[in-house]
Amino acid sequence: MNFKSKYKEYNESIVPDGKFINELADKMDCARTSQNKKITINKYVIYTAALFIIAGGLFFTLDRNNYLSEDMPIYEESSESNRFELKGGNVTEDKGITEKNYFSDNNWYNENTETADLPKVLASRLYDNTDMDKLYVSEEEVFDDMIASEEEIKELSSLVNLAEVADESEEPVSPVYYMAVFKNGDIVKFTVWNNCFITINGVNALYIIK
Amino acid sequence: MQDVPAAELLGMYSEIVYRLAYSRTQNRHDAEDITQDVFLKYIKSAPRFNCEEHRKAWLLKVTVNASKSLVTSAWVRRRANIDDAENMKVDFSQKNELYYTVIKLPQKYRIVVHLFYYEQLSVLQISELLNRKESTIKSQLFRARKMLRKLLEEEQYEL
Repeated sequence: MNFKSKYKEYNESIVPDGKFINELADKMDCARTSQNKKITINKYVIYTAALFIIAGGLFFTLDRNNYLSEDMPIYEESSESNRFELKGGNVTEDKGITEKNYFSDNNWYNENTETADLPKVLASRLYDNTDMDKLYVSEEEVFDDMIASEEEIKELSSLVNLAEVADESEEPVSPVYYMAVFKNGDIVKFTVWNNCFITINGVNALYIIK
Repeated sequence: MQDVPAAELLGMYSEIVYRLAYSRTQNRHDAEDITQDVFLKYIKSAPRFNCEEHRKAWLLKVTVNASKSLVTSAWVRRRANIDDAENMKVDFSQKNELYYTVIKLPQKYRIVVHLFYYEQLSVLQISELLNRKESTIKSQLFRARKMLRKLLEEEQYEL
Protein backbone atom coordinates (compact mmCIF):
# COMPACT_ATOMS: atom_id res chain seq x y z
CA MET A 1 0.00 0.00 0.00
CA ASN A 2 1.38 3.42 -0.93
CA PHE A 3 1.47 5.99 1.86
CA LYS A 4 1.52 8.93 -0.55
CA SER A 5 -1.70 7.94 -2.34
CA LYS A 6 -3.39 6.99 0.91
CA TYR A 7 -2.37 10.31 2.47
CA LYS A 8 -3.68 12.14 -0.58
CA GLU A 9 -6.95 10.26 -0.35
CA TYR A 10 -7.19 11.13 3.33
CA ASN A 11 -6.58 14.82 2.59
CA GLU A 12 -9.14 14.92 -0.20
CA SER A 13 -11.73 14.00 2.41
CA ILE A 14 -10.88 17.14 4.40
CA VAL A 15 -12.92 19.91 2.86
CA PRO A 16 -14.01 23.22 4.35
CA ASP A 17 -17.69 23.70 5.03
CA GLY A 18 -19.54 25.27 2.07
CA LYS A 19 -21.41 27.70 4.28
CA PHE A 20 -18.13 28.87 5.82
CA ILE A 21 -16.62 29.46 2.35
CA ASN A 22 -19.67 31.47 1.20
CA GLU A 23 -19.52 33.62 4.32
CA LEU A 24 -15.80 34.11 3.86
CA ALA A 25 -16.34 35.21 0.24
CA ASP A 26 -18.81 37.85 1.48
CA LYS A 27 -16.37 39.04 4.15
CA MET A 28 -13.59 39.28 1.57
CA ASP A 29 -15.79 41.33 -0.75
CA CYS A 30 -16.67 43.70 2.12
CA ALA A 31 -13.00 43.96 3.12
CA ARG A 32 -11.98 44.65 -0.47
CA THR A 33 -14.58 47.43 -0.82
CA SER A 34 -13.50 49.13 2.40
CA GLN A 35 -9.85 48.64 1.41
CA ASN A 36 -10.45 50.40 -1.90
CA LYS A 37 -12.22 53.26 -0.09
CA LYS A 38 -9.28 53.55 2.29
CA ILE A 39 -6.83 53.68 -0.63
CA THR A 40 -8.86 56.49 -2.26
CA ILE A 41 -9.00 58.45 1.02
CA ASN A 42 -5.27 57.86 1.58
CA LYS A 43 -4.54 59.20 -1.91
CA TYR A 44 -6.37 62.45 -1.06
CA VAL A 45 -4.56 62.69 2.26
CA ILE A 46 -1.19 62.16 0.55
CA TYR A 47 -1.96 64.78 -2.13
CA THR A 48 -3.06 67.31 0.50
CA ALA A 49 -0.02 66.58 2.68
CA ALA A 50 2.26 66.94 -0.35
CA LEU A 51 0.72 70.33 -1.15
CA PHE A 52 1.26 71.50 2.44
CA ILE A 53 4.87 70.30 2.38
CA ILE A 54 5.57 72.14 -0.88
CA ALA A 55 3.88 75.29 0.43
CA GLY A 56 5.78 75.01 3.73
CA GLY A 57 9.06 74.49 1.88
CA LEU A 58 8.47 77.56 -0.25
CA PHE A 59 7.58 79.65 2.77
CA PHE A 60 10.68 78.44 4.67
CA THR A 61 12.98 79.18 1.72
CA LEU A 62 11.61 82.68 1.32
CA ASP A 63 11.75 83.33 5.05
CA ARG A 64 15.33 81.99 5.31
CA ASN A 65 16.49 84.22 2.48
CA ASN A 66 15.11 87.23 4.36
CA TYR A 67 16.76 86.07 7.59
CA LEU A 68 20.19 85.52 6.01
CA SER A 69 20.17 88.96 4.52
CA GLU A 70 20.11 90.47 8.04
CA ASP A 71 23.34 91.05 10.05
CA MET A 72 24.12 87.91 12.06
CA PRO A 73 26.04 87.83 15.38
CA ILE A 74 29.17 85.67 15.31
CA TYR A 75 29.88 83.03 17.99
CA GLU A 76 33.08 81.19 18.55
CA GLU A 77 32.37 77.44 18.38
CA SER A 78 34.59 76.34 21.25
CA SER A 79 33.75 79.05 23.74
CA GLU A 80 34.00 78.44 27.50
CA SER A 81 30.26 78.79 27.95
CA ASN A 82 29.62 76.00 25.44
CA ARG A 83 32.05 73.69 27.18
CA PHE A 84 30.39 74.44 30.49
CA GLU A 85 26.97 73.51 29.09
CA LEU A 86 28.31 70.22 27.82
CA LYS A 87 29.61 69.31 31.25
CA GLY A 88 26.46 70.34 33.08
CA GLY A 89 22.80 69.52 32.54
CA ASN A 90 20.77 66.52 33.55
CA VAL A 91 22.26 63.99 31.19
CA THR A 92 22.34 60.64 32.96
CA GLU A 93 25.19 58.28 32.46
CA ASP A 94 24.34 55.47 30.04
CA LYS A 95 25.48 52.37 31.82
CA GLY A 96 24.51 50.16 28.91
CA ILE A 97 23.17 46.67 29.09
CA THR A 98 24.93 44.81 31.82
CA GLU A 99 25.85 41.17 31.59
CA LYS A 100 23.94 40.61 34.81
CA ASN A 101 20.70 41.73 33.20
CA TYR A 102 20.97 39.59 30.15
CA PHE A 103 22.60 36.36 31.18
CA SER A 104 21.38 35.69 34.67
CA ASP A 105 18.31 33.56 35.17
CA ASN A 106 17.75 34.11 38.86
CA ASN A 107 17.63 37.86 39.42
CA TRP A 108 14.09 38.31 38.19
CA TYR A 109 12.54 37.47 41.57
CA ASN A 110 13.25 38.34 45.17
CA GLU A 111 15.72 35.94 46.75
CA ASN A 112 13.34 35.27 49.64
CA THR A 113 10.61 33.98 47.32
CA GLU A 114 9.67 30.34 47.84
CA THR A 115 10.09 28.04 44.83
CA ALA A 116 6.38 27.24 44.96
CA ASP A 117 5.51 30.92 44.57
CA LEU A 118 7.72 31.59 41.55
CA PRO A 119 4.97 30.96 38.94
CA LYS A 120 2.79 33.55 40.68
CA VAL A 121 5.66 36.07 40.64
CA LEU A 122 6.26 35.33 36.97
CA ALA A 123 2.53 35.56 36.19
CA SER A 124 2.19 38.93 37.89
CA ARG A 125 5.25 40.27 36.06
CA LEU A 126 3.87 38.99 32.74
CA TYR A 127 0.52 40.63 33.47
CA ASP A 128 1.98 44.00 34.40
CA ASN A 129 2.14 46.22 31.29
CA THR A 130 4.54 48.60 32.96
CA ASP A 131 6.99 45.74 33.61
CA MET A 132 6.48 43.42 30.63
CA ASP A 133 8.19 44.28 27.39
CA LYS A 134 8.18 41.36 24.94
CA LEU A 135 7.32 37.70 25.10
CA TYR A 136 9.01 35.58 22.45
CA VAL A 137 7.38 32.26 21.57
CA SER A 138 8.89 29.34 19.71
CA GLU A 139 8.45 25.65 19.18
CA GLU A 140 12.21 25.29 19.12
CA GLU A 141 14.71 26.54 21.65
CA VAL A 142 15.87 29.21 19.24
CA PHE A 143 13.72 32.35 19.20
CA ASP A 144 13.01 34.28 16.04
CA ASP A 145 10.80 37.34 15.72
CA MET A 146 7.58 35.65 16.82
CA ILE A 147 6.20 37.73 19.68
CA ALA A 148 3.05 37.00 21.66
CA SER A 149 0.29 39.60 21.49
CA GLU A 150 -0.83 41.46 24.59
CA GLU A 151 -3.94 39.29 24.74
CA GLU A 152 -1.88 36.11 24.53
CA ILE A 153 0.42 37.35 27.29
CA LYS A 154 -2.59 37.97 29.55
CA GLU A 155 -3.95 34.48 28.81
CA LEU A 156 -0.59 32.88 29.46
CA SER A 157 -0.20 34.90 32.64
CA SER A 158 -3.53 33.59 33.97
CA LEU A 159 -2.40 30.02 33.19
CA VAL A 160 1.02 30.44 34.80
CA ASN A 161 -0.71 31.89 37.84
CA LEU A 162 -2.47 28.53 38.31
CA ALA A 163 0.77 26.55 38.30
CA GLU A 164 1.75 24.57 41.37
CA VAL A 165 4.70 22.36 42.13
CA ALA A 166 3.95 19.01 40.47
CA ASP A 167 3.86 15.76 42.42
CA GLU A 168 3.67 13.73 39.24
CA SER A 169 5.59 13.94 35.99
CA GLU A 170 5.14 12.77 32.45
CA GLU A 171 7.52 12.35 29.58
CA PRO A 172 8.26 15.95 28.52
CA VAL A 173 6.88 16.29 25.01
CA SER A 174 5.38 19.05 22.81
CA PRO A 175 7.36 21.90 24.33
CA VAL A 176 6.57 25.54 23.66
CA TYR A 177 9.44 27.77 24.61
CA TYR A 178 8.91 31.28 25.94
CA MET A 179 11.36 34.08 26.59
CA ALA A 180 9.98 36.99 28.56
CA VAL A 181 11.93 40.23 28.28
CA PHE A 182 11.07 42.80 30.93
CA LYS A 183 11.53 46.54 30.70
CA ASN A 184 14.21 46.56 33.40
CA GLY A 185 16.29 44.13 31.34
CA ASP A 186 15.35 40.93 33.19
CA ILE A 187 14.95 37.89 30.98
CA VAL A 188 13.06 34.78 32.01
CA LYS A 189 13.03 31.68 29.86
CA PHE A 190 10.41 29.08 30.56
CA THR A 191 8.83 26.13 28.78
CA VAL A 192 5.33 24.71 28.73
CA TRP A 193 5.30 20.92 28.22
CA ASN A 194 2.40 18.64 27.29
CA ASN A 195 0.15 21.73 27.47
CA CYS A 196 0.19 21.63 31.27
CA PHE A 197 3.68 21.37 32.77
CA ILE A 198 5.96 24.37 33.22
CA THR A 199 9.68 24.52 33.81
CA ILE A 200 11.54 27.78 34.41
CA ASN A 201 15.19 28.06 33.45
CA GLY A 202 17.37 28.30 36.52
CA VAL A 203 14.65 26.92 38.81
CA ASN A 204 14.93 23.29 39.81
CA ALA A 205 11.22 22.48 39.90
CA LEU A 206 8.45 21.15 37.73
CA TYR A 207 5.13 22.96 37.91
CA ILE A 208 1.72 21.79 36.79
CA ILE A 209 -1.11 24.04 35.63
CA LYS A 210 -4.15 22.97 37.64
CA MET B 1 -1.10 39.64 -12.43
CA GLN B 2 -4.71 40.72 -12.36
CA ASP B 3 -6.56 40.24 -9.10
CA VAL B 4 -9.31 37.64 -9.06
CA PRO B 5 -12.74 37.90 -7.40
CA ALA B 6 -13.03 36.51 -3.88
CA ALA B 7 -15.25 33.56 -4.83
CA GLU B 8 -12.88 32.52 -7.62
CA LEU B 9 -9.84 32.81 -5.38
CA LEU B 10 -11.51 30.71 -2.71
CA GLY B 11 -12.47 28.14 -5.35
CA MET B 12 -8.82 27.89 -6.36
CA TYR B 13 -7.09 27.92 -3.00
CA SER B 14 -9.45 27.52 -0.04
CA GLU B 15 -8.99 23.74 0.11
CA ILE B 16 -5.19 23.97 -0.11
CA VAL B 17 -5.07 26.54 2.70
CA TYR B 18 -7.65 24.72 4.80
CA ARG B 19 -5.91 21.33 4.49
CA LEU B 20 -2.54 22.78 5.39
CA ALA B 21 -4.04 24.51 8.43
CA TYR B 22 -5.85 21.31 9.37
CA SER B 23 -2.66 19.26 9.06
CA ARG B 24 -1.10 21.50 11.65
CA THR B 25 -4.00 22.04 14.05
CA GLN B 26 -6.02 18.83 13.54
CA ASN B 27 -9.02 20.90 14.50
CA ARG B 28 -11.80 22.04 12.18
CA HIS B 29 -12.57 25.29 14.02
CA ASP B 30 -8.94 26.37 14.17
CA ALA B 31 -8.45 25.45 10.50
CA GLU B 32 -11.43 27.68 9.61
CA ASP B 33 -10.03 30.53 11.73
CA ILE B 34 -6.68 30.26 9.99
CA THR B 35 -8.27 30.07 6.52
CA GLN B 36 -10.26 33.21 7.26
CA ASP B 37 -7.19 35.06 8.59
CA VAL B 38 -5.13 34.11 5.54
CA PHE B 39 -7.68 35.28 2.98
CA LEU B 40 -8.52 38.49 4.83
CA LYS B 41 -4.80 39.22 5.07
CA TYR B 42 -4.62 38.62 1.33
CA ILE B 43 -7.22 41.34 0.77
CA LYS B 44 -5.65 43.72 3.28
CA SER B 45 -2.09 43.48 2.05
CA ALA B 46 -3.07 43.19 -1.65
CA PRO B 47 0.21 41.53 -2.68
CA ARG B 48 1.39 41.52 -6.29
CA PHE B 49 2.33 38.24 -7.94
CA ASN B 50 4.32 37.29 -11.02
CA CYS B 51 2.53 34.02 -11.60
CA GLU B 52 0.04 31.58 -10.10
CA GLU B 53 2.83 29.60 -8.41
CA HIS B 54 3.94 32.78 -6.70
CA ARG B 55 0.42 33.38 -5.39
CA LYS B 56 0.19 29.81 -4.12
CA ALA B 57 3.58 30.10 -2.39
CA TRP B 58 2.45 33.32 -0.69
CA LEU B 59 -0.75 31.68 0.56
CA LEU B 60 1.14 28.62 1.84
CA LYS B 61 3.66 30.80 3.65
CA VAL B 62 1.01 32.95 5.31
CA THR B 63 -0.92 29.80 6.28
CA VAL B 64 2.19 28.31 7.89
CA ASN B 65 2.79 31.51 9.86
CA ALA B 66 -0.84 31.86 10.90
CA SER B 67 -0.94 28.21 12.02
CA LYS B 68 2.27 28.66 13.95
CA SER B 69 0.90 31.68 15.80
CA LEU B 70 -2.31 29.88 16.63
CA VAL B 71 -0.64 26.67 17.72
CA THR B 72 1.83 28.46 19.99
CA SER B 73 -0.90 30.57 21.56
CA ALA B 74 -1.19 29.56 25.19
CA TRP B 75 -4.95 29.68 25.20
CA VAL B 76 -5.30 27.42 22.17
CA ARG B 77 -2.85 24.93 23.58
CA ARG B 78 -4.69 24.88 26.88
CA ARG B 79 -8.09 24.24 25.32
CA ALA B 80 -6.75 21.90 22.61
CA ASN B 81 -7.19 18.81 24.73
CA ILE B 82 -10.83 19.53 25.42
CA ASP B 83 -11.61 20.52 21.83
CA ASP B 84 -9.88 17.54 20.28
CA ALA B 85 -12.15 15.17 22.08
CA GLU B 86 -15.26 17.01 20.89
CA ASN B 87 -13.88 17.51 17.42
CA MET B 88 -13.16 13.84 16.97
CA LYS B 89 -16.81 13.00 17.50
CA VAL B 90 -17.82 15.40 14.73
CA ASP B 91 -15.28 14.27 12.17
CA PHE B 92 -15.11 10.61 12.98
CA SER B 93 -16.75 9.33 9.82
CA GLN B 94 -14.35 11.19 7.55
CA LYS B 95 -11.16 9.96 9.13
CA ASN B 96 -9.42 6.87 8.01
CA GLU B 97 -6.74 5.09 9.97
CA LEU B 98 -4.14 7.59 8.74
CA TYR B 99 -5.71 10.31 10.85
CA TYR B 100 -4.85 8.48 14.01
CA THR B 101 -1.33 7.91 12.79
CA VAL B 102 -0.63 11.42 11.53
CA ILE B 103 -2.03 13.04 14.68
CA LYS B 104 0.56 11.14 16.70
CA LEU B 105 3.38 12.92 14.89
CA PRO B 106 4.78 16.09 16.54
CA GLN B 107 3.32 19.25 14.99
CA LYS B 108 6.55 20.33 13.32
CA TYR B 109 6.73 16.97 11.51
CA ARG B 110 3.07 16.98 10.48
CA ILE B 111 3.48 20.14 8.43
CA VAL B 112 6.63 18.85 6.73
CA VAL B 113 4.90 15.55 5.90
CA HIS B 114 1.92 17.44 4.49
CA LEU B 115 4.01 19.73 2.30
CA PHE B 116 6.14 16.85 1.05
CA TYR B 117 3.53 14.18 0.48
CA TYR B 118 0.45 16.22 -0.34
CA GLU B 119 1.69 19.49 -1.82
CA GLN B 120 4.62 17.57 -3.33
CA LEU B 121 7.07 20.36 -2.61
CA SER B 122 10.79 19.68 -2.73
CA VAL B 123 12.96 19.78 0.38
CA LEU B 124 14.39 23.11 -0.81
CA GLN B 125 10.92 24.63 -1.31
CA ILE B 126 9.81 23.43 2.14
CA SER B 127 12.94 24.87 3.74
CA GLU B 128 12.25 28.26 2.13
CA LEU B 129 8.62 28.14 3.17
CA LEU B 130 9.31 27.21 6.78
CA ASN B 131 12.50 29.28 7.15
CA ARG B 132 14.42 26.20 8.18
CA LYS B 133 17.66 24.80 6.83
CA GLU B 134 17.47 22.14 4.11
CA SER B 135 19.34 19.75 6.38
CA THR B 136 16.73 20.35 9.13
CA ILE B 137 13.89 19.50 6.74
CA LYS B 138 15.73 16.39 5.59
CA SER B 139 16.25 15.17 9.12
CA GLN B 140 12.68 16.04 10.11
CA LEU B 141 11.38 14.07 7.11
CA PHE B 142 13.67 11.20 8.02
CA ARG B 143 12.43 11.18 11.62
CA ALA B 144 8.79 11.56 10.55
CA ARG B 145 9.17 8.63 8.13
CA LYS B 146 10.77 6.55 10.83
CA MET B 147 7.91 7.30 13.22
CA LEU B 148 5.31 6.68 10.53
CA ARG B 149 6.97 3.41 9.58
CA LYS B 150 6.78 2.28 13.17
CA LEU B 151 3.21 3.45 13.60
CA LEU B 152 2.06 1.96 10.32
CA GLU B 153 3.94 -1.29 10.72
CA GLU B 154 0.81 -3.38 10.83
CA GLU B 155 -0.68 -1.70 7.77
CA GLN B 156 2.32 -2.53 5.53
CA TYR B 157 2.51 0.95 4.02
CA GLU B 158 5.19 1.78 1.51
CA LEU B 159 6.80 5.12 2.43
